[in-house]
Amino acid sequence: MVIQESMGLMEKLRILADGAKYDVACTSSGVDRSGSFEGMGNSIAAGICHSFSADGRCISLLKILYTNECVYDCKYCVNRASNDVVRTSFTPEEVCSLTMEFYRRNYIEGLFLSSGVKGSPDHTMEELCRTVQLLRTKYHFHGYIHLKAIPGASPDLIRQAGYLADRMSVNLELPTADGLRRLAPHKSRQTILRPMRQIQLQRDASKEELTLFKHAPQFVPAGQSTQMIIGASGENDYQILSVAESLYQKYSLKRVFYSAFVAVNKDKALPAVYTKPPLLREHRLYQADWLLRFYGFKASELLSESRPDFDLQLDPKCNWAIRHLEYFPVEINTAGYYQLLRVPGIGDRSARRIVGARKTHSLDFTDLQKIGVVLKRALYFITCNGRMMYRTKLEEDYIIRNITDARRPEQLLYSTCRQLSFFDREEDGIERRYAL
Amino acid sequence: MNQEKTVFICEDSTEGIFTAVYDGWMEAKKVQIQIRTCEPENMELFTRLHHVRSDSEKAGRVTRTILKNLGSAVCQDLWYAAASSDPDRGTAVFYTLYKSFFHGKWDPGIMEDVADAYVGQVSRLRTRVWRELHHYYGFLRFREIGGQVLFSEIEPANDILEMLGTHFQDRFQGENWMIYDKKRKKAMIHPVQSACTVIQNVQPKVTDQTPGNPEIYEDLWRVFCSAITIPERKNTALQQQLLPLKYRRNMVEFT
Repeated sequence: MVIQESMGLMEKLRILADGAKYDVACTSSGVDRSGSFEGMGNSIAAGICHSFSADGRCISLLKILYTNECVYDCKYCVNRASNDVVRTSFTPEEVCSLTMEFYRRNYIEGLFLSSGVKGSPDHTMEELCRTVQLLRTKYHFHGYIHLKAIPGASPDLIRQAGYLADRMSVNLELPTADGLRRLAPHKSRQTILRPMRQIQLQRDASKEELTLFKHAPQFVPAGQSTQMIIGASGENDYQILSVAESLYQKYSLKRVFYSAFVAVNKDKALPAVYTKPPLLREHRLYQADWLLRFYGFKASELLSESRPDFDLQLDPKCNWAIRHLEYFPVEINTAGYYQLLRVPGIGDRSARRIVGARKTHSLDFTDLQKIGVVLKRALYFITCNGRMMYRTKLEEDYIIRNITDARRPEQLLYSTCRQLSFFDREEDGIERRYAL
Repeated sequence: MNQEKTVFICEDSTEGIFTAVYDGWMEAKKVQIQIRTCEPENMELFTRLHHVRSDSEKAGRVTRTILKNLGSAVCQDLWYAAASSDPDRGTAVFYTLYKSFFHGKWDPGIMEDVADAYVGQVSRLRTRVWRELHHYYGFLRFREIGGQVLFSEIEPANDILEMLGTHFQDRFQGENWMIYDKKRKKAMIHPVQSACTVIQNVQPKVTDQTPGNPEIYEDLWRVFCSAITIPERKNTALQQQLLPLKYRRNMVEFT
């Protein structure tokens, strides 16, 4: 292991930003905080994207590792202890000056500080706390700070960090305890879920305090999030989605992030190095995640034990609608908001506008077009004043054929139809459709 | 149907639009009103042209009326629509207001009636301006000149300089900064802990930056942006969709 103590700031930044890039949490949202005279910066609840990287992801925070030295040997991580990479570390002053100078040039909304585990979880967490303390008190930074909680750190340190940061997160890494045991043997479900629970309870307590004292300090005001790696340990989509659903319900998380597995290490426990990251699968999971949070769906409605993976040809909402044609057609002028939300082609904005616009007069299809409903999809599922737009059949195969464009060859690749074979056996199991 | 039309030609600014709204209000019962920011290309029969001189008093009265009767949300929507670059936005704003005053009562829910042509257009223009404003919150880049002043250049399609100023005034209260709108040749100046002022008709003078003064933080930012990319997920089409090329001219990491 090569440790370089004295290294130029630019080289350190390059190495430590490179190490942090697989942590996909990128939002700067959730906190509204005004600026002040003696300090620098404010925070906007909607979040602001300052730039976009060449892989299309939003850059809104200075996302860096404090150090990439690590005593753990998680198989999927580029900074695992047994990898021979150049190791280095920032000093708290360096992190603060980078953050302040980037912030005042409007490059970033704030800081995202993660770290490898140097020495012990407590030692690392102390360093992180010291850095953020410096940023808040000496430099009077009022922008956004997202701090990672190191699994296994003591509750006192987590508590101290929570009053300084806007958002905290602990990475779940793998969706199942079995996957975690195989690929990250030094981490356990317990060390990851314990700080999550502590942050949740402390947040609730802090919100209660705020109702009594208006100027009580806020604990992690933007909530917590977590991340799961997709495609490294062989779980199916139903398992992943169920884990996400229970995290939202039991730990009051704000976001769950899904990160397509990128093969950086050669290891017999991992998929081969030439495997491409499962980007479409990750996309379907994000679509399902949105359905859970904003559209009133449950994981058991979208997937089940017998259908554990998402259809690659159709998005989850459309898929659900086609398999549950008994709920359709929906009458636009009388249906409730949540009923409208279930129609493919009608999203949250369109549903709200429909409910608002029909107060003045009843709507027809030209009005729906002006409202912004995607009629190409929705026309199979809705009626206006009792009439459908065109004469269509409310039938599964007919709708699938019309919605998916058969002229696009890549959609045929993802087709769920299979050639029947005499040699299909139940015992062979479900064939993987993610071979690409 | 009214065959007669009066066309008001006003200044290309929010103040001009609202002054024209004030002027046209009384006439709207008799004739059809059109508010434009430039002369129409073709002459029309039965149309009267009327040039409107901006009057901050009249514009202020219109704004106050909207705020009092329709609420701040509708006022913001109309203000944003007036700040857009569509030459016909004045007509849309006018008829939205006119429609909301029905039988002597103001209807604060006017913006919900998206099916109406004028309300729909105001809504679309408002969204366009809002999107550009939020893009600029993120894509605007300052650079340090003279060691003490943060300077930024922007080229917005809509007139969002004042709105940007409000945001940065709260964020950088302790800094000297200025934002220069290249297209409209106006600049917003903010000295430390003071109010912002807008200067019109700016004549920019280009001076060479003294050599031997490399902007180290600009280089560090470029290094950061390239290090944070995951090569296996490279998707320049998506990047262009989210960060259009027109913004990149004034962004450090793309120049």
